[in-house]
Amino acid sequence: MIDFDDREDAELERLARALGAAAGERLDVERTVQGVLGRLQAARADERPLWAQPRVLRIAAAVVLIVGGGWLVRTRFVAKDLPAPAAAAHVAVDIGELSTAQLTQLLPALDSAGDTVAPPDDVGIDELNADDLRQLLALMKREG
Amino acid sequence: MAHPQPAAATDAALIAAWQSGDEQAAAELVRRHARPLARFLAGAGAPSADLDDLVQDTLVRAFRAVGKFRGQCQFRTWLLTIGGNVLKDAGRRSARTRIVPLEEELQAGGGDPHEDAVAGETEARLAEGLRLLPRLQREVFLLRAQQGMPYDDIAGALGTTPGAARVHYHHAVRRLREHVQ
Repeated sequence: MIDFDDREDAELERLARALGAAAGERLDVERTVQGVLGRLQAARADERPLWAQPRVLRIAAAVVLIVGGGWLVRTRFVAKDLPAPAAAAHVAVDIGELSTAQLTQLLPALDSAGDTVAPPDDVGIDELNADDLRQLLALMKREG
Repeated sequence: MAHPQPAAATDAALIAAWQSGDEQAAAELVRRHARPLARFLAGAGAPSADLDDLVQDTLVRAFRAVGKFRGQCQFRTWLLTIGGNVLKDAGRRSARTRIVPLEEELQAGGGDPHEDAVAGETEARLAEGLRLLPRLQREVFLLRAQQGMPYDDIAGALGTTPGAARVHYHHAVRRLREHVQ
């Protein structure tokens, strides 16, 4: 207890205890709680390193989504539609539409394919091997 | 992550919980100490209009510096001394931004007109006398007489000895008694 030594000091003690009591009662404690917690959250966010700031994390997430999405679209849809090198040799064309020069250009590609299986009777240009095409080319040269 | 706090959790337990990220622990500490803090600040001369802000400023400053609290006194005593620092800083800012004649400042008394009217003349004189005291005497008097803190605790919070705190208190009482009479 306070060691006031006379009645006068006891009165001072009583007054001191009452001092600010009305201000304390007026204080909205729950509003204070919300205000303090909000400011502490904001302060904690400010104290994070740059890479951990919510704004930076959102930007990084957006970049990952855009780059990842672009890569996915490219690999799943765009690349699939591009002609593969081997597919170029399988373009079905009528042999009669090709010139001698075109057939000459086509031969090395067919050589590299290394197909040695003998063709059946009714076959398209894409099913001929290199030897067949050489014979065909020689025949076309002879016939003018 | 919030964890429910038992009703009888000590301040130390709540501080530890807050330091590990439990916001509800901080909320409970605010509920426990906000009103005594408001009374202390009002007694020390905080203007009524600024009291809410000063209470929040003090609590935020205390929570951010709680790592420096070593248990040298009760949490409340430590919090109230931080309140004294916040009030002093606010007074400096206020002095830089607005010019209020000293007499007007003293007469304003920091309370609203209704409160001042209701308060007795003696209480008003005590409030005025407190504002005229040196800061250390004023804070020791309020911590002891208004908040009922022991001298050991006051000394721990203010970084002095219990004997010195007792001397500050008796000087304050003597001057206040003269002012009130």
